[in-house]
Amino acid sequence: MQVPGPLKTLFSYFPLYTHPPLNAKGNRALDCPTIWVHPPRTNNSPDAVLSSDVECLKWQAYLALRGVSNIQVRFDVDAQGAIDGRLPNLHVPFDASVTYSWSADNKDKKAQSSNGPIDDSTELLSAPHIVEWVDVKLAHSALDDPWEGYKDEGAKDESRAWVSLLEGNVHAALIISQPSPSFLESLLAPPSPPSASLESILVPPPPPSTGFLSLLPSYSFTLFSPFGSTSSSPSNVRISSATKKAVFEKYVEAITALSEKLGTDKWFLGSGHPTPLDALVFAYLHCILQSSEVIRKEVTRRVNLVAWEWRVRGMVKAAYKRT
Amino acid sequence: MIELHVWPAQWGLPSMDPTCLSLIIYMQLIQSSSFVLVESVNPDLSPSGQLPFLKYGQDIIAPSASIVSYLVDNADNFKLNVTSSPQNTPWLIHAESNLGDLVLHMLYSLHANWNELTHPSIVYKFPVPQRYYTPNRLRESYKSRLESAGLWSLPGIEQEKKGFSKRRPRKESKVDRRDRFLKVFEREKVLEKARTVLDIYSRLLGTKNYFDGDQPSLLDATVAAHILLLSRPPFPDPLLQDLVNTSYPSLVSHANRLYDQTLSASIPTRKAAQNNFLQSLPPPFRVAEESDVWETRLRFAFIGLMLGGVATYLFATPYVHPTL
Repeated sequence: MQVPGPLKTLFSYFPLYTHPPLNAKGNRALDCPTIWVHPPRTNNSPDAVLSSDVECLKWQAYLALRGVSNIQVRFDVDAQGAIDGRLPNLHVPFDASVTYSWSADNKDKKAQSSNGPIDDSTELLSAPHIVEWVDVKLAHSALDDPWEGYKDEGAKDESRAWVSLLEGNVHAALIISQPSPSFLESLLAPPSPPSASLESILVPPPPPSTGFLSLLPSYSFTLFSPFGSTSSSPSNVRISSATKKAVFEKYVEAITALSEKLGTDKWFLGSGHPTPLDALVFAYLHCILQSSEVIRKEVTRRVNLVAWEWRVRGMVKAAYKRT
Repeated sequence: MIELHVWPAQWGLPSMDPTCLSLIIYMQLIQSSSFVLVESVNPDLSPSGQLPFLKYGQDIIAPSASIVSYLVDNADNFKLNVTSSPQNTPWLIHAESNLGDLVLHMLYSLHANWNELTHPSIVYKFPVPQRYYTPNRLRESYKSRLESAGLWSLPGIEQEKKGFSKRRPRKESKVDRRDRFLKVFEREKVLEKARTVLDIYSRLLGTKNYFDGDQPSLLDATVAAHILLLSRPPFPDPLLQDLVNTSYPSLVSHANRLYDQTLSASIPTRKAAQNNFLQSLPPPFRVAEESDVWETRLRFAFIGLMLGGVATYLFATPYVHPTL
């Protein structure tokens, strides 16, 4: 069916231009792996390569402690531009000879041409895939470590307990101690990352803001600014002062236990080599030492934790450089 | 007399909530029956907004971690035999969060269990207007925790509602195959998660009687409470119940041992005084904190200024008698 005459003349006033596809590779070639993370607190010095977000810092420490070096850091990518909306992501040069567990195995894949609309010469990995990438790069199979790098099975089980201690008590204290942003800041700041909120960490979960039994529905203020909605503090739950006090007490117990467990060991749980638990502990200690005085002084009181963090910080920083 | 306010008793256990039950077992271990259980459905009375909470004279303590430290601090006053074991801190937290997730998944997330077991057992304990919305609010409060653990909203064995089943059978056959595959896959994932957690605890217990050797501790109480709540209630959808009962006999016998030791004797219980429902309608009144006092003052000042301004405006304009 033909377009009728008058409509055709109308459409001729709005011609359609097709432009040739852009070269997606851009100007810079990717020579070494780049990790996309949240920016550190003080972005000025060329030394600042460690992120201020616990999740990103954990992966940075993991990469460095496993022995990968010469990684570039990139702070300008927002969380919304990452896979699944969560940083960190690792941008690596594509290696056609390796097949990962997630890539489709095309044995007859042609040589990647980087002039088309899709850039096939690099790959972007989200956090869970980083482990496999490191294993492949270091030519190390996951089956080589008998207990994932820990001393024995008991230590491996205990590491799970320490992980839940860190991600529970210590993380809750970190969240509570962060000062709530003023109204102006929350309007102007870009939307913050959806980190674990208090209601998913606390046991039992905090009640809704108007209580369980009241007739009023629970309210929540989410401010919709031009930069996206801010959900930095979901206020439809009520965190009472009794809960805050309990969280702080549990945090003090947790730091005491952590310090006693470390003692004078080189790595946690007496492992011979750094393990993922060490990366997690370093991430939390580093973030605590940059937070408010209330929670920082608990860690600064324990000299062995401070010394351990300082030593590991040197190791982790050495692996990264800024673009 | 120490009063411990907990969620009501169900299924032969003194409380249906894992945190409350572990606290009850622990208190029975450190002192036998010199406290009273108060079955309450009003968490708004608690300073933290959640049950359990403890009341002794003028002191009201919540949440459960604060209760334990309060009991330890005042052990002499209450004549308790308390031996605090600080080296168990990470295991306690791991048990509370991981085993707690499994229990909450069974009670609140699986539709068959919620509709046929948990909801009917709790709904009639609430007074009249609350029973229509509070159980759902309770369920929603656990949602974010279970979502972050990946244990929320599984397809269950039976359909959620049986009301309109007569109209549905024609469409079911087409959707069924894919849905059934998804259901089985999701349930396998949950079973896998549960197996990892329960394996850790059965390895930790080994062949010992208690986790710490000879004496039961708070960790024993916590793990036993969660296992009892996983194995005893008559679940319509026994996803994890079967797993626990068949594959982890050591954990089940540990839980039963602690039950016989502590809960087989009956604990003095009473029901909380039912508030007049009008009193529980408005949101709970918070005890004034320092920063709140300033806020309240500013709020009253603003309202006062506003009302004063309106009054001035009304009375300043001369009243003109409407012309006849």
